[in-house]
Amino acid sequence: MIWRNLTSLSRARILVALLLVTFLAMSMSVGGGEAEAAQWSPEVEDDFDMDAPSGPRGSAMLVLLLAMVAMISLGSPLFMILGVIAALCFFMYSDGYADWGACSTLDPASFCGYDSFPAKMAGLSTKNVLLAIPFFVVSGAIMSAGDIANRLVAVARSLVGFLPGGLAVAAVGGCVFFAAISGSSPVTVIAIGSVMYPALIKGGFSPRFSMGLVTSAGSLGIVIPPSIPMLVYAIVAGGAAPIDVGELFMAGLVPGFMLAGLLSIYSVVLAMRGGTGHREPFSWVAVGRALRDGMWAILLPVQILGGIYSGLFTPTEAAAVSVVYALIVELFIHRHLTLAQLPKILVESAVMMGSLLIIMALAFGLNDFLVEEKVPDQAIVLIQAMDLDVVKFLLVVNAILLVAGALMDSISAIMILAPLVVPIAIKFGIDPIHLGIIFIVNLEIGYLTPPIGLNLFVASSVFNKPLGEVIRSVVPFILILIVGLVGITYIPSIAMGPVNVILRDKPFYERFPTGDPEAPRRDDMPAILAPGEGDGETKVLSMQEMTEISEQALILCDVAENVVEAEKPDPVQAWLDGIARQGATNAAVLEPAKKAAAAAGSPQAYKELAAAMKGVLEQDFECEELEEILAKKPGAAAAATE
Amino acid sequence: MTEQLSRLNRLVYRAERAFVASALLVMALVVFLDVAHRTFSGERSKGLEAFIKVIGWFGPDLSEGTAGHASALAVLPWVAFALFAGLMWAAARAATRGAMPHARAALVAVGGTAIAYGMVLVLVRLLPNGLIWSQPLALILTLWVGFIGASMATYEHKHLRVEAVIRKVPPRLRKYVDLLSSTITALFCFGMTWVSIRYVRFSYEEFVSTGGQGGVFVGLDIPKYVAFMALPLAFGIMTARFASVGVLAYQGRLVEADPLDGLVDEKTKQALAVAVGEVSTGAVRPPSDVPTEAVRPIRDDDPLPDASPDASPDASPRTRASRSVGGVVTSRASDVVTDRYGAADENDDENDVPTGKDGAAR
Repeated sequence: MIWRNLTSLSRARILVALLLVTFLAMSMSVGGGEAEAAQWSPEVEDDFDMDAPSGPRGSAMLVLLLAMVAMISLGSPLFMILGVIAALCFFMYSDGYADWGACSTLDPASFCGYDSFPAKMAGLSTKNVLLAIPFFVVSGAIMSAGDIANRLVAVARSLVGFLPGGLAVAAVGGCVFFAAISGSSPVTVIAIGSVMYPALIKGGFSPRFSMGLVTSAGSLGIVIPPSIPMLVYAIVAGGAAPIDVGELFMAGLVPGFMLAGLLSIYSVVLAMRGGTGHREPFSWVAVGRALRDGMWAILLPVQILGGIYSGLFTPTEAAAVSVVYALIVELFIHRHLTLAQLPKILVESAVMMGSLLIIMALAFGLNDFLVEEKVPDQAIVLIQAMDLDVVKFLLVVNAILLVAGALMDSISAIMILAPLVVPIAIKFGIDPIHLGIIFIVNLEIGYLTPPIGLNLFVASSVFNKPLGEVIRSVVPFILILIVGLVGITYIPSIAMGPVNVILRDKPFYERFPTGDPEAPRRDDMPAILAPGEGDGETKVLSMQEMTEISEQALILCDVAENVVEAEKPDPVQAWLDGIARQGATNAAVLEPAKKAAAAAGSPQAYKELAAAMKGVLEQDFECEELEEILAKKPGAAAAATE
Repeated sequence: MTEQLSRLNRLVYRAERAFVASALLVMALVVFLDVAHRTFSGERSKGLEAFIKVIGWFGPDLSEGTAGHASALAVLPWVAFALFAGLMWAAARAATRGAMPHARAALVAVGGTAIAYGMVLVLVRLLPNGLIWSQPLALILTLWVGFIGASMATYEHKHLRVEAVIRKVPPRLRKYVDLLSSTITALFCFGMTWVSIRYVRFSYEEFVSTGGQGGVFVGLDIPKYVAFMALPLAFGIMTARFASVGVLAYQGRLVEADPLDGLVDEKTKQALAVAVGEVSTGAVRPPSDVPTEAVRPIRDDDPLPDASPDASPDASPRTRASRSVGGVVTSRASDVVTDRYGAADENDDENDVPTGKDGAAR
């Protein structure tokens, strides 16, 4: 009854709050280790049963849920919610490994369970990729401070204006250019939308189509590199598998252009059918003139990507260079920025970085807990128990991501979900780079789906339209983007093809993962053998065997040292006796040593021994005393080995 | 007392602003110089490798050992020179104000490129070992900028938060809820300050007990405890700021900021409205649906909320209670920008709480 009295917007909001709670509860329940496999199915959002887990873990979960509900009702900052959840998890699940009393003192010698929090935050200063985030934010903010939207739209218009419905295609093109520079979807909607929305309406397109087009094309910002959510993914997922940001950027390129292409095709078809197919004549002169004004902005992503892929810079360095480039362009060429305005841009970027970094820092605390409690491993067991194949697994991942994208902003979603999903996907043989693009495209659609579609809100206020109307206007575009998403998900070559060809020297075609957990490895990985396997040359040793060998090799040297110091009459014999007394019997050590001793006197004696030891230890083995023995008594060695 | 505290708060904020702005610039510059240094020094130039790789994409193989390698080596500096000079020429021709005629632009381009190259040579000569410390240093500064930025986000009320429920709270309860929420957050921040101090002390002990050998960043002479001091500092300031927000909320001294502050400037909005022809200029915009956490303290020049109850929504800052719209996880206004730097910002230091064009238009 009350439900009916609410406006649709507030209904949506309550639903969101409930979904958010169940969503986090879902990940928590896996942490409790008592969740049933069914809880991982997509339906769980509808009827999650809170009573299912019982015992101490169940009550702990209840505490977590209550804390979460309380904090959400109080409107607490997101970083605190994550931090408190992580703190509670550590406290309740730690099983007494931490000394909580120590937390009340400032004595650094005692270990307190929460010391890992500041350690995690301080550990951020070792993640090189992190550095790229403030740089890209700053360069994007500097570059978009001026009127580059006009310049970019002019370039796009001169290039594609000759198509039927060319104006709409130019709007998409302008969004692609702008997205590559600013990397932020809402900024793209505002900048390009302010220019193109009136132009599109003047060009005969319906307001609804125009609004839907710029709102959805603006969301391409995070797919087209450089993109900050991609950097966050690389940092967060890097724990499960090292991720090369360059590869991730490259993998986003084709999907981004493909989605833009799909939106353009839809516009062209609609324009031809609706009679708004106004075409502008194409002229190289116009292209040249537009490029002259627009090339400086377009060169920014060209410099970043070109620098990365030619090997000139790492992504972090490319970001720093892009800051300097953007400064030069805006101060000396576009001249839209004065030095006096610069601090303001820098401060705003820092504040944005701050609200991001603190969430990341505390989310790492939560991740730490998840890893410590082996939650991803348990999730893998659950998933395997569900008899999922890769196709279904990817479907579930997409569904979860779409829901998550509708509920939270892209970076929070990546922070929470990537550490859980990436290890599972690797088990299925899905390339983490491919998965990253699936993440990004899903969350891109999340910018357009209510209740928390950032682009919807921005469009609603920029174009001065009710939210409901904006939502209706983007529906056809969401459907198109989902078609693209399906393609990107199930045809790995779209994302991975360019990466394979340019960065990995492999054929374009990327095989769809078979999902066989028995064979999750890629073709270029060496075979993994168990201890004892392998032939004589490359036998795999157990940890015990390796320790024994290194210990006995040390004995060899120690004894040799004693022999030399005591100046025994027959050093080689004394050495061999010493070895026998010390119980150095490992064949792997003794045989090469004896062999080398037998060869003593020959110039290669020491070299042979060193090589033999190197083979044993797989590292340079220096044993000067041994050399001394072998050098002193060239003749004695042959007799000793008899 | 309150007056002095808020003045102190503003002072701290100004210091933070100065710090983050200069730190960001220093970071970018240092890493940039490192890149420039490495590109132009050493026998195995990264630039040469990149050049060979790029040429390789188009066919000719110039890698080391082939016949073309020597010629690539010889030709590269000239290619690079021509590229930079060409870019500079085009830039001089295309500059928005003061674009140059052909001849002068060419002169500037060649001269400018030569000067730039000379500066790089000086850099290589001055720092023969390069700036290998640049990225570790920049990462430490990132830590500082990030956490000081978080403390500034507290000042500007720009932390992401979930506020689906809090918007439904009846107005008369709202101040108690706000007080409670801010107090709990302040307590959490205090806890983080405490464990951060523990951690800094731990790093300090590590540094001292090893006689300055351990607890130092590799390749830098900066002890770790110095770098990690950003944590207790930022969390300490945040503790104080969240506590003050709670007090302000309890006293009813928080007002809703225009959620579109900093998103779009008034000029753009008007231009849009006129272009679309749907809204006449000067019409009152309905409160937007953008969900936001943006609240700000009432400034001295604000008309009191209850003094002008009939004022239109845009004429006075709306008190929070009068608004029923809102959302859950919200965006930062700082995320979203269009040509707002174009408009000169008058006495920026006085309005250090973001007031946006809403305030300016009044």
